[in-house]
Amino acid sequence: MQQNKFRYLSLILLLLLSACITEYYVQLKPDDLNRIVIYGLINNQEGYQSIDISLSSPANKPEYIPFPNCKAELHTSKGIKIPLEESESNPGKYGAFISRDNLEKGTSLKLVVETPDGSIIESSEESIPSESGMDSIYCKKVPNPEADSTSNEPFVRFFVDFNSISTEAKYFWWEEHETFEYHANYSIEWIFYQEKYTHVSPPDSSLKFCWRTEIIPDIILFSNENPDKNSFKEFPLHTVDQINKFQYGYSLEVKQHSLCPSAYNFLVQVKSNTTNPGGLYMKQPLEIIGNLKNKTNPDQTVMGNFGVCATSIKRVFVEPFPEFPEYDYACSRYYMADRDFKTQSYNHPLYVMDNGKHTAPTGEVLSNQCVQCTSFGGTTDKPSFWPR
Amino acid sequence: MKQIFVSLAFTIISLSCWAFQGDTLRNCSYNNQPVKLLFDEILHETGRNVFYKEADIADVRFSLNEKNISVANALEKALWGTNLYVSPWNEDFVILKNERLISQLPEFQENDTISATRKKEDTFMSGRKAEERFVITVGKLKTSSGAKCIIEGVINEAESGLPIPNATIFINEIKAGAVADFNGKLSLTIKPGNYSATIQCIGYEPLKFTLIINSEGNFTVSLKRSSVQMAGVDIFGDRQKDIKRKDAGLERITVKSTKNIPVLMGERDVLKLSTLLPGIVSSGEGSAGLSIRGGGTDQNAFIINKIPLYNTSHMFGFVPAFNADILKDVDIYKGFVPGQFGGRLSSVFNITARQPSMNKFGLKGSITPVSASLAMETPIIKNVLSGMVSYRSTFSDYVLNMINDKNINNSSAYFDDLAGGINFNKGKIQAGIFGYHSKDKFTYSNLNSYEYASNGASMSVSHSKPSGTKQELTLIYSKYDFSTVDMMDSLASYSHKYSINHYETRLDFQSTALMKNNLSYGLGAILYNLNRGIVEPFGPISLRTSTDLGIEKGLELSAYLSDHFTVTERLNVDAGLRYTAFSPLGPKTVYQYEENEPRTEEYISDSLNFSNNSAIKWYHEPDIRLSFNFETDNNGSVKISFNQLHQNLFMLNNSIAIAPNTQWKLSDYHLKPSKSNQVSMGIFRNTEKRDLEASVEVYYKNTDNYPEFKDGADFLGSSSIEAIVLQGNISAYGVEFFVKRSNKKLDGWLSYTYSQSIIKVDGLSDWYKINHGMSYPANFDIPHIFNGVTNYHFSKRLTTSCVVIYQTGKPITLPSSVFYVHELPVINYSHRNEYRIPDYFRVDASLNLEGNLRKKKLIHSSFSLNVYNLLGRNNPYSVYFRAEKGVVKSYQYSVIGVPIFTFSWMFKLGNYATE
Repeated sequence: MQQNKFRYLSLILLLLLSACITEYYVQLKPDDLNRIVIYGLINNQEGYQSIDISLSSPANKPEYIPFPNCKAELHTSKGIKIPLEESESNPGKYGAFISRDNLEKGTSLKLVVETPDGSIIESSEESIPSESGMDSIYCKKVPNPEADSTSNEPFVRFFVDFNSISTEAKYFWWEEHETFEYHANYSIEWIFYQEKYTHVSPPDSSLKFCWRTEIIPDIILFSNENPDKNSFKEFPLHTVDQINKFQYGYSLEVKQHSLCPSAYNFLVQVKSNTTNPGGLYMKQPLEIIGNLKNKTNPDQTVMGNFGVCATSIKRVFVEPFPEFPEYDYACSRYYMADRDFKTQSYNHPLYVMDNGKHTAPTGEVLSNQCVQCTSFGGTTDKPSFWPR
Repeated sequence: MKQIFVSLAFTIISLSCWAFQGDTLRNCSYNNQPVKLLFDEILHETGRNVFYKEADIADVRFSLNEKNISVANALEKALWGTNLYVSPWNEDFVILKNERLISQLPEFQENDTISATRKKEDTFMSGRKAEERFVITVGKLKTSSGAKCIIEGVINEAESGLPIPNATIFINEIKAGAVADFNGKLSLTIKPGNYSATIQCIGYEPLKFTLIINSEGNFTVSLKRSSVQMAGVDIFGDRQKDIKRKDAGLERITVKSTKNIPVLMGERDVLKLSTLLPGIVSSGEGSAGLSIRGGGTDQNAFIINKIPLYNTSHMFGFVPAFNADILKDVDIYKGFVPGQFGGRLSSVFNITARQPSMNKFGLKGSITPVSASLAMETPIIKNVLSGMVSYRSTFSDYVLNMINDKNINNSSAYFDDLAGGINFNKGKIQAGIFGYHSKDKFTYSNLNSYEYASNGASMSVSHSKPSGTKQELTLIYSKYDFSTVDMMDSLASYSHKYSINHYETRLDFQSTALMKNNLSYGLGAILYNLNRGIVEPFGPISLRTSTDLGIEKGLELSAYLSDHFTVTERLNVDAGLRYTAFSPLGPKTVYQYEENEPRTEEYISDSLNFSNNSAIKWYHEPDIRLSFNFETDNNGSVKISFNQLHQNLFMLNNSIAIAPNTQWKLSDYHLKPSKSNQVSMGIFRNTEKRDLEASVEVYYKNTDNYPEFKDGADFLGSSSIEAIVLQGNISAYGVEFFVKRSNKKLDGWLSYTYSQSIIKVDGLSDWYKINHGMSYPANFDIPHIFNGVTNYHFSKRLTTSCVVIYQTGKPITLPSSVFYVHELPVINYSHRNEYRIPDYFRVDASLNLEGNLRKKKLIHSSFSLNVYNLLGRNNPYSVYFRAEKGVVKSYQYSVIGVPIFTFSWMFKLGNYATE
């Protein structure tokens, strides 16, 4: 009886603590759909640079919707107008070769876009800031805050030592791309296809070694509030919480952008909305406001932002950590009846496990993930910067 | 109709009888004077008492110029045009409101009212009354000179020892008597001898005794409360019930009325009950905030025995911070605010704790599914000094440990509160000390923890004079502090501690010495001391940088003068002026910015350094308060009020709910005090026959310098609040309907409020605009609110109640679109509060059972079964989006989406009627 009382009480409290979260379908107002989005960040590196013009998509059906047939120009403070041509292969992308003369520190740029219906959209004028340099990029192991008895592997955090050559560089954004090598668990040795085994000898390892490059989604920003300080040590970048990425080497490319204020403010807003977890005490989200205005129809909101920056780039390679455990990618092996072998192999080849002596297959079938590293999204093309 | 005829006939017969009595007043000459003077004159000249309720005649004035007029006629003429009626009672008179005293029930009266049901039950409680007569001896026996001597008496309640104002003593032999003042004290000048005396007061059993006077001396008499209840279930106190006297925008909640209302965890909650009244709306489940007449959640002052509270809830708003057992009632001023209150723009919740009994030990308590409480009161020196203490604590942790969930196992939720007071009452001096402590601690696994506490104390000494003046000096201290550790995002984990200290002293005066005026005036000073704390990185991998949010100090000085003035019999005016001066104090470095440029570092033009305790910037302005109360007839009135208020203290909150770690912030060099003007008008009527009362109130409120956070404001990121808070304007208006039925088997009330609350922050440059400078609904803008409360009384012991709540969905900023930045999808949101979440609808029910009604019993119990959210609706609280596997999904967050059943037990020493 006493036990029952406790169970009822437990149930009550469980219910209290279990707030209900259910899927919700939003009926948006027409004005909030298909808004014009212009985004561009021109850096101080001479070469081809571009901006994107697109339409926003509904939040529950996100997709990139290019907005073609616009006319875009960059107006410099030197009175030069640089037309941006729409890419034939990438609709909605408008670009041009920009020479170093137009990208000197202090040069102001303004983006002017004319849409197919004749609306003129202009950004504010943005001045190219001072460049800043990266002294070194390195990583350290840090404790896993979620470590428990079943998992206590550490995390790896990257840091940058950097300097702003002049104190005019105040706002920073680090854009990071990681590349890591990984391997499928097996080479292809036995293939069963259309009721016939084929022995591949030597085993085919062409799909065993992959490299995967990804953008780090963290938005890492810094505003230097101290006008007398222009050298910074051990500034934290992103943290890698999957140490298997270091098993065969890890490469990180860091672009350090010294931003104009509008670009920085825009990314601060993006970050604020991206990191909002939701829930009872969540910070109220915000409407991201950039520096673009529709001069023809001032009431029509233009999303996105046009900014300029001075960029420096550095890449580092991290050798595998010997103390980290070896990691096998998820791979399922299963036994299959002869009848199923025949049925399934008509449609696609089955990769079959070797008997260990390279003489005969076993009845154990390997899933595609076991032999094709590309199943995990990588490529078998070794990047040019890969050291080995 | 039959009742009217019977009453009328009885009145005519009664008046005829009086005419034969020959008791006359020789010379009556009064001009617009309080009717109480006439009663005193009658007692003085004829020895006849006139019994009345002080509250009924408080505003009644009369004019009479007659000679040799009978007492009955004089009374009839004096009370003509009011809703008060005279009835003979033995040799005396009784003044009743809206009725005359009748000697017998009319024939064939149907027993369909709750009063009839209770008659039998009251027999249990009253028992047989024995004729008692005892002797009181005053003074020492000595040879009497026969000269008159002065004797002084104190009349108090037998149960509590509290004084009974306006009790009367009548000495039969000399046909004279006296009336007790508001401290229950009276004096008589009388020759030594043996007398037959009677002490009476409405609501108490009269006491007849033999008074032996030997010489000068003192005596004390205790009266027992009459066990016959006039009304068994009062949802609101007398002031609310009397529609003619109700101030525009005033609500009163008695703790007794919370007993039947269904609640979430079995905890009686006066604040949640207030949200069932028109114009008051909760900011939601899991939040303690209230929005009143389109005002922000930080615009309400919560004061318990003069201690201001900066957090009014336990467990994130699910449980009230006060133990109901120590509370007496709550006055809510949301329209006209008397001059003694200030500092908040929307309302004042003046919460009064019980006064501990002066002569009887009392104990009461309760057990709910999450907590247990005990309250004790006891005399320390009988009739002079008494004390009270209450403690409540939760015991929910053991339940958490039994749940098979790793995160919940590792969680803990704890709260407790302690309150106590000592009251002293001797002679003309009254003094009181009251203390309050409340603490909460909540840990959710290893993800976050909150710990917050309120502490406060008040000490007051007052001195009363029979001339009708009272002075009171009060010292007040209040502190709210919290500490938070947030580990939801290990890279951004932080710890933070915050505290606000409030030191206040005030001197208040009340005077009724002037005939037409009821004056109150006073002075006050408040010193605020805030430590906004340091936000420190927490854990080994947190990327937070340490941020010192700084300390703040502020001094608020105030003076007020308020008068209740009777212009004519039907028109009363309340006028008040409150002058407040406020300045933030140093030490402080204040940045000045280029005009109309963003308040960011690059636009700093100068910095000002202020030394410790030096005034940084004085803000001072008068608050004008006016209220006109015009009685249209005996059953109705029209009230118009104008109210001005200032606020120097704000909450920094940019979440939908008020989190326990919400910081308070003082006005400063840049952030000006907010100011509001409210005009309201109310029409109040009641119908005696159906026991219905109804009101319609309209209001318009304009608030300037309302602080509103900029998009993405981070209150933990910088001490420079001026960079993330702008000030704008709120326009709020609404109409409130209220109908209530009382004292029936089926009673309750319905309320409907239509309101709008619109914010506009439109500065000179883009940086000083929110929402592009366009108007937008406030977070608490809820246009339609309907509340229904019904109680069905099967008997005095068994009552069932049901609450129905409907509200328009709250405004929300919805994720409206996705665009791409550097290949990453970015969710963008609509204009601020452009959309609304779905409407809110909830039904709660409760069943309350009282123990038996026997008069003589040691302990009385009552039980309550509550069902919260009977229909199990998933009422939405917020909507948010989350990217999952490349798809952005929207979710509706409901705090409580299932029916919650709770059972609670309340007990007290004594019987049903024991307070």
